[in-house]
Amino acid sequence: MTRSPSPDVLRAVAEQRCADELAALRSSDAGPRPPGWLLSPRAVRTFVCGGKAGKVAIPRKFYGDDALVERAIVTLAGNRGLLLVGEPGTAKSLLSELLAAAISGDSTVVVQGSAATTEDQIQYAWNYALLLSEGPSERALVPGPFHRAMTGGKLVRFEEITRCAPEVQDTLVGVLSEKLLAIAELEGAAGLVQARPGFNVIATANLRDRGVHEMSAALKRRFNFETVRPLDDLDQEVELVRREAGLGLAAQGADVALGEDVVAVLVEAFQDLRSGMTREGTAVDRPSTVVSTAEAVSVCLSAGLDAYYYGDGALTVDGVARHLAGAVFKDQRDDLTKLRHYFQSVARARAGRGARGKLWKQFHEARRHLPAE
Amino acid sequence: MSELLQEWRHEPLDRDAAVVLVPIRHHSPACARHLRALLGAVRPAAVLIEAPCDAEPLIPHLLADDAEPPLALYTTWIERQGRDEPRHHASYWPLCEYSPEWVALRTAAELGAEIGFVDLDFARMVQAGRRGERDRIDSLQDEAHLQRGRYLDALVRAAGVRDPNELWDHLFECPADRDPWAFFDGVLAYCSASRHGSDPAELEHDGTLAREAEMVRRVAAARGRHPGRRIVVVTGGFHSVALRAVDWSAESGGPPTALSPDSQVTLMRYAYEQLDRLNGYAAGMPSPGFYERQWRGEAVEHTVTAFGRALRVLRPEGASAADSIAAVEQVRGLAALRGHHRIGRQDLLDAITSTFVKGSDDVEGVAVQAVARKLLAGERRGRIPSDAATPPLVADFEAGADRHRLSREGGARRELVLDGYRKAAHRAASRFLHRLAVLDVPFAQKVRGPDFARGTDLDRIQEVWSYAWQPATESALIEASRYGASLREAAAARIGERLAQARDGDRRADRAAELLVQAAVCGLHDQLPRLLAAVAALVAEEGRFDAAVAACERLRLVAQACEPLELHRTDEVGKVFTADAVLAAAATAWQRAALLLAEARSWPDDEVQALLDALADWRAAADDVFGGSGPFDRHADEVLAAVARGTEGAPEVPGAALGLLHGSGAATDREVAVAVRGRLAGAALAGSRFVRGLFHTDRSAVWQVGEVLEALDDLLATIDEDEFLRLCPHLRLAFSQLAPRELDAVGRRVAERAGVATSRPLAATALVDADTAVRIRAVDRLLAEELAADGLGAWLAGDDAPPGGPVDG
Ligand SMILES: Nc1ncnc2c1ncn2[C@@H]1O[C@H](COP(=O)(O)OP(=O)(O)O)[C@@H](O)[C@H]1O
Ligand SMILES: [Mg+2]
Repeated sequence: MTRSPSPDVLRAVAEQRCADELAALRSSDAGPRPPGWLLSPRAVRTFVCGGKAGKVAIPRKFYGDDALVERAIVTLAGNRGLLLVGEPGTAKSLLSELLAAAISGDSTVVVQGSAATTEDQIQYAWNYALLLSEGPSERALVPGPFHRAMTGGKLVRFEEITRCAPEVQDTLVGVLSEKLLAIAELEGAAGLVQARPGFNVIATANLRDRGVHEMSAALKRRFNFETVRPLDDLDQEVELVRREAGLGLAAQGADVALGEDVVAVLVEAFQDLRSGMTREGTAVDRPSTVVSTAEAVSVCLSAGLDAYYYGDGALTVDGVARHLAGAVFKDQRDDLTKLRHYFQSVARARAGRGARGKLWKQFHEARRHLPAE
Repeated sequence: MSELLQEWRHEPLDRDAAVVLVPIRHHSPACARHLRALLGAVRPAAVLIEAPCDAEPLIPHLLADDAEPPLALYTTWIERQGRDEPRHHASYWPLCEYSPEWVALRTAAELGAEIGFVDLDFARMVQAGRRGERDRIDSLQDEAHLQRGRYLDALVRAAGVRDPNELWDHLFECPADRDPWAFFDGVLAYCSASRHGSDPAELEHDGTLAREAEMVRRVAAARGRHPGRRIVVVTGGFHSVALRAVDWSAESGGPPTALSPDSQVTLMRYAYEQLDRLNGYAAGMPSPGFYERQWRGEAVEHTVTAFGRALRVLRPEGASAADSIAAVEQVRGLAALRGHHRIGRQDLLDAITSTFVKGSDDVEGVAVQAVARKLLAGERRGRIPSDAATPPLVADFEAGADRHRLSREGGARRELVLDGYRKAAHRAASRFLHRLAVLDVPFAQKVRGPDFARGTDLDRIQEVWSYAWQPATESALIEASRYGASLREAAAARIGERLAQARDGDRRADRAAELLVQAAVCGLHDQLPRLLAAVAALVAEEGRFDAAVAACERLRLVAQACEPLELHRTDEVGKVFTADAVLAAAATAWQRAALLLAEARSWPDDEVQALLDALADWRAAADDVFGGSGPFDRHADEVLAAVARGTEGAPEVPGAALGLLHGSGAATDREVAVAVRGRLAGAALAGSRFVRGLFHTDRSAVWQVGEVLEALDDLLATIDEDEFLRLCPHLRLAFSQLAPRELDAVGRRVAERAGVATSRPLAATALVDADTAVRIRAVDRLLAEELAADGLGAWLAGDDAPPGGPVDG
């Protein structure tokens, strides 16, 4: 990703971070564009999955399931909304941001779903001072994300949609099927907002979490569901974790060597714990804590900072193991037991064997950092 | 050709070559279309196809007007190996209407070209190193070679597809048709990568090189037959790569090799489901139903609608017309995004996933995927042409069915009553049906009648069968034809194979004895002597008591059923096989069991029930096997006495031994009473289990030895509730072996002893079931404890405690 570190903001949005890439894609894009789109579907795919825009190399941003990305893009060009479902940390939000940036050039039209989300935060609200003085008028209207997306012909992102109360969710049914927002308070044409081409919804949800609401059948019908799975390709995940942690460390001015093999040990341990099965075919107990790629990045980040300030500037297996135990598993007694067992059995079995045998040995020895039972 | 293949692009196919090598992938409609175009352009004198050469006589049938794919060549070979059991090899070579080979056959015939099959015959393929699968019949069109390799993995990644099948579709099935030469240049480049990545030693070892040598020989021979004319050679692309290196002018065809007398090729009708499964194993193209739709140019709307309809059966509320419309839109969009001129299999599957799955793919998606897989597999079944000879085993079946007056029309099941004791014709029909059963041919099922393997219903005189012909009957018969050309021969070979498996496997004597029984009911009397010898050999080294007893039982039953099974007549064929010989083997098994019993040190807990049954059978067999001769009874009692004294392992076993001794009079009432009291006093739990064993073999002990009941009653009076809950399951097992009337008697005795009157018969009391009762008690108690701990104990005390009254936390 071409990231121009911008000193003024903590995190630039995708269309800022990747402005050069998007420009290159736009100028080299010969494919037909769906109405209201800034890029052709194929160029969107290139933006997300990597490739070339003329002479400019476009790095991959979303790893794993390219077919899913293609399905998502095609869905957004059609009549239905897109709902990305999956465990936390599988890059649902990232993918939704990237798609919105590429397709609409704007990833900031967002609803953050929660139990407290109300209808007016989604569609529109009123400036009460004006409302009282002038009565309902277009001037008094404060457009919400859906209003903005519909009038602008853009994608609106709806994060964690299933956290919203069912009746709030269901206000989308009409919008999605009629592509029409009725503002009862306004008269005549002003009371009907019709969506311009390019409008659609990308929602994300975690279906199995506690505290989520089942979607109504009517709303489900308006979405195509796509399940985002955790990465299972070791090389890809290692590459991703190294890159993300590297960027994070660089942002903090910490120059740390993130050895590929060290990261690989961590990632493989995460993949084992996530899937409940090692590559040797040993069953392991899956912890209830989410061991996502995002967690792997954050472990590398904190272990990296540790190495920078207190170590010799290189990430070590020992440091990784210490932060793993401390950060990820600190609150869950059962999970600690499972982790301890993993260190005892799987790490020990790999110690001294194969290309990374030495590192696995260190990993096994690092079990002493685990809090006592 | 895609730029992905540039790396392997080498010399293109020679458009003017005398020998045109056409590389194909089996069951690829794109290959079939381009091959048809190429054949039309070349107009060769001969079309040579990679198929087993011994199937050449079937070519006219493949060309018959009424032949309808899917069909398969079914090749079999019996490998005789000295004194060992022969091995039965079999493979399929399937064809469907869009197979390049099918199209090659038909187009060649239209062009008047000679048609030849140029692969090794099946027997020599096996001899050259081809390894089949042990537990299923595999495919001669295996394409595993094309599915592996580092280069292929890199291609898959570079193309952004999921697997080699999707890659193949992306490169070859989905683009628009083009010049056939350019198309096959691409296929060749694709196959070159895997050919160059494969290990020559392995190709030598698995027979690939020998097969290619044969192809060269046969192509060269055809060249000799058609001097100056062109020849097209259609083979899997993997072979074409190698054949390109051949200098044809230097080759001459050798003389044809003699075929093995033990090999056979038949034409059988096949089904898409079978092909889908077979290709799943063989790394071939999956989903024949999908590719047939593609081949016929069916609009995707039809496919999607068919899917929606199929899904609605399963999920009436979902799968609306709106979903189908969205899916069509989605599939078109995906194909466009991926640059597909034709809709690919994954495009369709992806669209279905997007639009029909309302939830997570591993929950809501499972049923949808299953329906999709089934639709894509398809349901078509082929038809063999009327002029094709019926395969010998099928013919034998038909003759047999007609002889026994069994209907060969499908439809409702019919019933058949056979009186094998009195009527020779019925006996023959029974054997016919048993042979089919041994071969797993779905036709008839025995509903009632004596079961000599299990020893049940032996007093029945008649066998009742229910039967119906079904399409699967015929395919199963054809598959079974690898075992032989007649049912008699095939059933014998199948039993022989099972015997070999038993010998190589767990070596259980009882399993071998079961095969002996099977052979006997199938009327395979000539097999009996060697089966008996095999059983005897396994018995001699049997290590499990229950297996030795079971073997003894089977043999004993065979000997007893001498007459209905007509064993007395086997002397003519098998010299040594007489009822006496069987009985002698049974005696050996009995003695083996006695030895195992005497030597056993401990009894495993998890096999208690099997051991108890075996123990009873073993004791009961002593008289039968040895013609009631006293010494063996005495021997049995000595061994049992030692077991009854044992203290290791499951205590039920010594209990059962004591029961047997008591039953035969070898142990007195007094001895039983002492043993029970002693065991119960030692450890209540083990004692209860001992009593269960005792009752298992000797129910009468419960009244004949009044003290047994008294001892139990005393025990119950002394133990606390916890202990009772622990013992209860075992006591329940012990008493559940008694008949209702016996239970009543027990109840009365206990009541008398306790001095209470019983008005109702105990067995009729709604004891619901004892396990539930125990659980209810346990819950009761837990509740009481919890309440007490919470200071609410008073709630249970009675009415005077107000439920809503003040309580302290
Ligand atoms: N497959 C992936 N491709 C790219 N980044 C990923 C992937 N999986 C996880 N990540 C990393 O995890 C981070 C968290 O992802 P996020 O979008 O917040 O997940 P979610 O919304 O699914 O909970 C991403 O920003 C990225 O750094
Ligand atoms: Mg998120």
